[in-house]
Amino acid sequence: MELATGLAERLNDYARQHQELTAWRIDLYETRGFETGIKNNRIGGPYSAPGYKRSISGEIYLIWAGQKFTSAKLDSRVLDDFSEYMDIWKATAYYDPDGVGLYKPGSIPKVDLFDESVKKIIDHQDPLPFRLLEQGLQQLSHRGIQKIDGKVRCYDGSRVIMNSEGFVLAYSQTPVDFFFEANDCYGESYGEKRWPSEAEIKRVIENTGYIASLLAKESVKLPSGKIQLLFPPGIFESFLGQFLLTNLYGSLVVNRQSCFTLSDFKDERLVLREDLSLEANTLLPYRAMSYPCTSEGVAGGSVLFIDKGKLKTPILSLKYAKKASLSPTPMPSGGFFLKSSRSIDTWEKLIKQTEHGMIVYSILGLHTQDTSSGHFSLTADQCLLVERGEIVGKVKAVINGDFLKALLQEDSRLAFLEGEDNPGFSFWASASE
Amino acid sequence: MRVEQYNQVVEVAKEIGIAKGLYFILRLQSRKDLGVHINNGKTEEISSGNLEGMGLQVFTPEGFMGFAAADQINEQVVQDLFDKAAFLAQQSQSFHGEPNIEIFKLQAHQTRREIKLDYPYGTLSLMEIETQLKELNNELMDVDSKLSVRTLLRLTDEEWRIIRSDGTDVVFNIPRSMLYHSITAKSAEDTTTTFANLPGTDLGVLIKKENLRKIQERGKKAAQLGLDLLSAPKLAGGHYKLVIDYALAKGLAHEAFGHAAETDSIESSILGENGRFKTGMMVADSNLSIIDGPLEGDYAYQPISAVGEERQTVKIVDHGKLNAGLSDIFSAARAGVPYTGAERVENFFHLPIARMSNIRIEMEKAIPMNQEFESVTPRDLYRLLVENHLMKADENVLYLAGFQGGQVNPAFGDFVFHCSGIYQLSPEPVLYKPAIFSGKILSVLRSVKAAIGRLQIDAIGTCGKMGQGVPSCGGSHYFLVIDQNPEVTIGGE
Repeated sequence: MELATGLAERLNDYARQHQELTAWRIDLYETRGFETGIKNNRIGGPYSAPGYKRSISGEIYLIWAGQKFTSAKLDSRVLDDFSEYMDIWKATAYYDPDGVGLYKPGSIPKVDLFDESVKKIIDHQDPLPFRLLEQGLQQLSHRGIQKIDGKVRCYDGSRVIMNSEGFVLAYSQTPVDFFFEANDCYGESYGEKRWPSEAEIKRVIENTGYIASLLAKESVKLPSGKIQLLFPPGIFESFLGQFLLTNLYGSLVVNRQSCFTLSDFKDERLVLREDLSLEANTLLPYRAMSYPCTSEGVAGGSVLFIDKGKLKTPILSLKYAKKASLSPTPMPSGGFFLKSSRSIDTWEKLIKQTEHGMIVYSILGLHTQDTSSGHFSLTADQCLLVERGEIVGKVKAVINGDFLKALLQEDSRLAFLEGEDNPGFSFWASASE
Repeated sequence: MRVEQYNQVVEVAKEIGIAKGLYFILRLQSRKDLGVHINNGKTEEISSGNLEGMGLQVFTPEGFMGFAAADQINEQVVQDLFDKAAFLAQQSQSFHGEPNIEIFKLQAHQTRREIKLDYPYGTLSLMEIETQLKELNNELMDVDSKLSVRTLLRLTDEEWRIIRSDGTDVVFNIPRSMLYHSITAKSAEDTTTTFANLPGTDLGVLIKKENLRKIQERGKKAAQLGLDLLSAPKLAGGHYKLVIDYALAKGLAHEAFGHAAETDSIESSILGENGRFKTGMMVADSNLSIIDGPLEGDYAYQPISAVGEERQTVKIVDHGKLNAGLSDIFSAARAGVPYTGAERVENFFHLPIARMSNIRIEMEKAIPMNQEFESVTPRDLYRLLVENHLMKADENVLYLAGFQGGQVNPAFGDFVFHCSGIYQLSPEPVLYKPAIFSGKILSVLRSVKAAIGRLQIDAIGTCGKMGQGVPSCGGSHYFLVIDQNPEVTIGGE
C-alpha cells in the first residue's frame, strides 16, 4: 500500500506540472511466499529445493492528451527511479483512436480471499508444506507408486488498484496450490486461496494413486475407427479453455481472429447444445478464480457468456467493450463453469453405459492446436479402453475430431463427478494407435 | 553492463557466506522489454517493462539446499535472503531432503561476455518502428480481404551476473528480438490461423534489408497457406513417408531427443537405464548427428550456465550413436556423462534445470538446393525428390510444413509436434489440414534417410519445463526425408 500511495502522489505531482498527462491508473501486487517440491521421491533436492520468494509487480496505464496512452509493467524500483521511468513511459506512449479513459465502477463487491493460516505459515516459516509433501510421499509409496513428484506453493499477497479520480481498492489474498504426480503418467492438483482441508489433501493423494494404478494395467490393442472419448473434468476444462474460451475474447472477436464474429453475438448464434451454458464467477469465496475487481476497475461478478447454447457476450475489456458497443465484463481468471439444464448421470454410470470408449487422462500437444478452427489432432498418451462398460486395459491413441461441433451434438454426454467444478464429457471422435 | 554496479551486494553475500560457513550461488538479473503490437493496421499496444532482482541458492556443507529470491538488489535484501535460504536449507535437512555436493567440485573463474548490438533500441525512433510494422502488417492484410493480421515486435535486453562463494564472478548478456505475424483467414464455414516469424538480437530484424525480405516472404507464404487451408480436406490418418521442413526438424530434435537427453530427469528418461545415460546406443543413420550449443546472435543464446559455468556445445547424437547428455552439475556424474553446463533459468526467481539452447539435426551428404528456403514451393520439392530418387513419381509422400509447437513425455518415449499444413506431393500438390505428427523417440531417427539444402537453424519457440519458459531455437537442413515407419503416425480421420 505504501508503494502504491507513494506512486500515486508522484503521478499526481507530475500531472499537476505536465498538463499532457490527463489521467492514470495503477494495479500493484506485492507478494511473498514459500514453495518446495518432491522430485523422483525426494523432498527438496536440487530441482525442488525449498524456496522463499517476494516480489512487487503490476501495471500502469497513463492517458495523455491527444488520445495517447502508455501501458507498462511496474516493479519495485518504480519510486526510486520515477523520473527515468516517467521518461520511458512518455516516450513509449502511443496513439490509439480506440483507447479508453478511466472506468467509473459502481460499488465493488467484497469477496473473502485471505486465509490467516496461510499468512502464519509464511510468517513463522511453519513446516506444514513439508508435512503435506511427506504425507503424499508416504501414502503414494504405500500404494505401490514407484515414482512420485509434487510441489506445494503458498503465498501472501496484497493488491492495490488506484486511479487519478480517487478510486482505491486494496485487498489481501493467500493463493495456495499443490500437486502430486505418479509414475510420470498421472497427477492431480489443488489450487485455491486458502490452506486445503485434510479431506481435500486426501482426495488429491488418493485420486492420484488410484488413477495411476489403473494406468499401470496391461496395454491392449485399440481398433482404429470411431470411438467415444471420455474426458474427465480436467481434460474437458483444458479443451474448453483452448477451443471455446479463447474464441470468446473480445479482442479476437472484434478483429476477426476468432471463430465467432460480433454478429454471432448480436444474433445470439447457437454454438453449444441448447441445454448448455458457460459462465464465470469471480466472487466465490477463497476460489483461485476469484477477485473483486479487474485491473481496469470493472467490478467482479458472475457473467453468462453462453446461455442455453447461445452466444451472449464476448469477454470484454474496456477498449473492446467500446469497440463492440457492449458493456465490459469481468475476465475469467483460471476458472469457468459449463452447466447443463438436463439431469446428468454420474461418471461411473457413464463408463458403465459406454459400449466402446476410451477414458483420456493425458494429452500431448494441446497447446499446439489451432484455437480458431475447433479441429483437434492429438496424441492421448495415457488412456483406458472401455468395452461394454468395463475398463479392459491401457491404450495410447492419436485422436482426431472437432471439439466445437461435439459441443453441439445430441449424442455428446456430460457426467457428474463429486468435488469438481465442471462435468466430465463424452463424445464421438476417431482414434488410431 | 548494468549488473556490474552491484559489487557491494556481492561483497555482503560473500561475508555472510563465510560467517555462516555456507556455500552459495547468487544470480543477479536485469532485463528490459519492449513490445510493439499492431493489429489489422492499427497500433494495439506498446508495452515496456523492467525486471531486476536476485536469487540466492545456499548449500550446507552436507549439500542440503535452500533458495530465496526477491526483485530488489541491495545489501539489506541480500542479508534477508541469505537468512531465509539458510533456514530453508536446514529445514530440508530435517525433512530428509536430498543433498547434492557436486557443486563443490567446480573451479573458480571470472568471465565476461558482452554482445555489442549493431542496431540497439534508439537506432529507429518509436514512430519509425510503428510505421514500419504497420507497413508489414498492411502488406499481408492486402493479400486478401479474408485475412486479419496481428504483428508483434519484441525486444529484450537481458543481463546476468553469477557469483559463487568459491570466487567465481561471471557477467554476460543475452539480447534478443523477434518479429512475428499471426495471420487468421476466415470464411463463412471455417477459420484458420498460421504464423510467420523472424528472430534476431536487436532492431536489425526490422532494419536489415535481408531480414525484411525474409519476414515479408515468410508472411506471404503463411497468409497463402491460411487461405488455402480454409477449403482443404482432412487427411486420412496413418503411417506415411514424410518430408519435414527445418522448423519441424527442430521440433523433432527438441521434443524427440533434446528433452530425453536432459540428465536432470534421466532416472525416468527412455534414454537412461538404471539412472545412467545410454551412451553408445545406435539411434540413427550413421550420417546423422544432433547438436546442441550456444550460437552468438541466436534467439536462444546462453554462453554461460545458470550456475556460472561455460555452456558446452554437445553432440547428443554423433553419427547415429547416442554420445552425450545435456547435463547440469547436480546430475551429470549420477547419469555417467561429462558435465556440459546445460543449466538455465527463466529468471532469478527460479532454480536451474538442464535445458537446450540451439538444437539442430545435421546430416552428411545433404542434397544441395540452390534456392532460398522461403522461395521453395511444394512443387519444387516434389521435382527435386523425384530427380534425386528420393521418391517415385507416383509415390504417396507427405510434406509437413510449419512448426506449431510440440510436447514429449521422456519417461514413455512419446513425442508429438504439430505442423501448419500438409501437402501430398505430386506434380500438382494437394493441401490437407494440419495433423499431429507423433512417434516413439527410439525409432523415429532411424527413419530419417536424407537431408536437402543448407542448414537453417532459426526456428524459434518458448520451451516450457517444470514451470519455467525459456527461449529455444534450432533447425536442420531445409528438409529431412523420413521413411514410412509404423511407430511414426500422422493423425487424421
